[in-house]
Amino acid sequence: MNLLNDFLDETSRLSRQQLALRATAPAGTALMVGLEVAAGGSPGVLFLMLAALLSLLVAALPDSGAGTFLLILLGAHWLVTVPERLGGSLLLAALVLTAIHLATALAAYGPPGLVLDRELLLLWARRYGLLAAAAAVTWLAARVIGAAEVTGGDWLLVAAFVVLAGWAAYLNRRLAWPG
Amino acid sequence: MTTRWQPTHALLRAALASVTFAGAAVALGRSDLLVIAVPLLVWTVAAVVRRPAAVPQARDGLLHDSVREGEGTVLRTVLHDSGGVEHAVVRVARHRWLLWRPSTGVAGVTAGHSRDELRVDVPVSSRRWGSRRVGEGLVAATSPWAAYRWGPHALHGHTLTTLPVPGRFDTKAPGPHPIGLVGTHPSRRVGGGTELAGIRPFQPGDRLRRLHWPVSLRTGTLYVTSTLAEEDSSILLVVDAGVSVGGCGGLDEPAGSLDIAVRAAGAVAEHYLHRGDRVALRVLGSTERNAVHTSTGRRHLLRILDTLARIVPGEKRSADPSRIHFGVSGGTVVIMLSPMLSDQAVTATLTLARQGLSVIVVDTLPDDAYLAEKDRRVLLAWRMRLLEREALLSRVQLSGTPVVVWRGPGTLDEVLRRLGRRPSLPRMAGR
Repeated sequence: MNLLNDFLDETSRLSRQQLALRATAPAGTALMVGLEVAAGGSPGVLFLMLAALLSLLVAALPDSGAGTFLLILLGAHWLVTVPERLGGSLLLAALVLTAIHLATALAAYGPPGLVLDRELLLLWARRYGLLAAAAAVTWLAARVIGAAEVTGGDWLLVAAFVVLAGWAAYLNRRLAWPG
Repeated sequence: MTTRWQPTHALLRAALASVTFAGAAVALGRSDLLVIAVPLLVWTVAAVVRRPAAVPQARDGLLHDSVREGEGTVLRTVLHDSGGVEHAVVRVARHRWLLWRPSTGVAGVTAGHSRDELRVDVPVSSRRWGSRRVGEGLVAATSPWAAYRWGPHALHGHTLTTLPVPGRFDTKAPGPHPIGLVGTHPSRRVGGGTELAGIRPFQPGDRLRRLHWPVSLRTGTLYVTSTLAEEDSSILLVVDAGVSVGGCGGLDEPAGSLDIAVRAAGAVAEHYLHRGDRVALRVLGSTERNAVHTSTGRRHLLRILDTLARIVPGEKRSADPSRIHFGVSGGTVVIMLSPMLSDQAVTATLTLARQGLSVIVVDTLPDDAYLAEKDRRVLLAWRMRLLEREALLSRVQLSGTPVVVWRGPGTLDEVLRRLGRRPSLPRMAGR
């Protein structure tokens, strides 16, 4: 009972910003389901219930392991149910999953009542842009390789990804703070 | 206060999910999973590459140890060796009489370009007099990409003394028994002053500038003006801290009896010390530093206010007031600030009056004192208490001690004038 009281007390003290960040997980999960349907997938009831439960758990406890299970569940279900492999919805799905992860990380920055300053939010916006660019480049590369029907295309993609990750890490180190 | 950085759930999430997706992509030949894995993998790589090396050290403190009611200070937490810190957050415990900015008591700051040290300032304002711990809470720091966390570590807080803001007080009545050497109160003794005492014939030794020419010319004999000597007076303030009745108010809130007594004592002390008089303080019902000796000056005012701020109501009631040694000399005016709800205050008042001192009781029971109780028995008990109080006040008044209600400026004017006239009034003598 005390745990429930503490939880309700902490929830009542959440700032609007934290509420918005926490709401990203359920909203993103719903968006992922929509993208799955748009891509030709057919989410089952069990999956929907599990995803909804996990997303609410992530919203309630952003600084917990629930987010890991949610990401893996959404990604694995995409793998199993979506027949279309490299359509536009795939890129959107990657961006949504990244957004869920990012928002959950931001929501776990501090205790209830914390309002992150504009400087930090802009920094994270730049980072999200970097991650989105990486996803877009990979998506484009996968489409090009898939269209060219290159032998061992998947391994080529992995090698490209390693180069991309190295480049992103270098950029991150150099461009962490403007000037 | 040093511990290691710990990986966050965000880092574990990104690492586990990206490795799972990437591994599945390679094993199953599904390049679409790689697209999903790439942003998380980039995140993981970037976070690990920027893993912080140095462990920060936190130091915290208040910019001021002592403030007045309504004034503010800053709780400053400094993280040294903060090279790996991107964001730091401080959460402080809230208190009824403390106003934090932000009001949640949670403040965060993002590290800028200078990374040698990171400051987290949390402004705080104290709304009520007293001495209390301020700044107990937690501090934590996060590395770039929210990958590692340092803390949270406990902040143990510091003692902040909030001096009472003296209420408004002024009196134009002179002190009834000035007993010092120099001051502003006209004494009964003739001497060098400005208050006219009379006109008398010239005597050898009189200063020529004292000659009163109109009378001298009219009578043909030299006359001089004589003046009253001006001396300082000695005031003893006695604050009854045995009980506090009514509200328990900070600034802009209904004040309780102890709030009124403390602020009134501060006001009276400030007034008389500003005029060069000597003021002492005694707190009834408080164990820690309950007496301030008689002295004068601005530093002495701060000493009195500091002692008032440390009062804890009802802390000690066992002391026998008739045995308390107040350490005052004859001619001292005693101002007792009390709601007169206890025998202790009445006994102390009567003891002081019996010593021949001029005692004034300032009634500090607020007009709107009420009990937020709906229990009829409690309300009945309160009414009985008020009746007892009436009896106690009658005992005090029968002893010749005036009782006045605190109303700020002018509260003591009438009683001080009456006390000043008392030696010249006819007295009943026993035969």
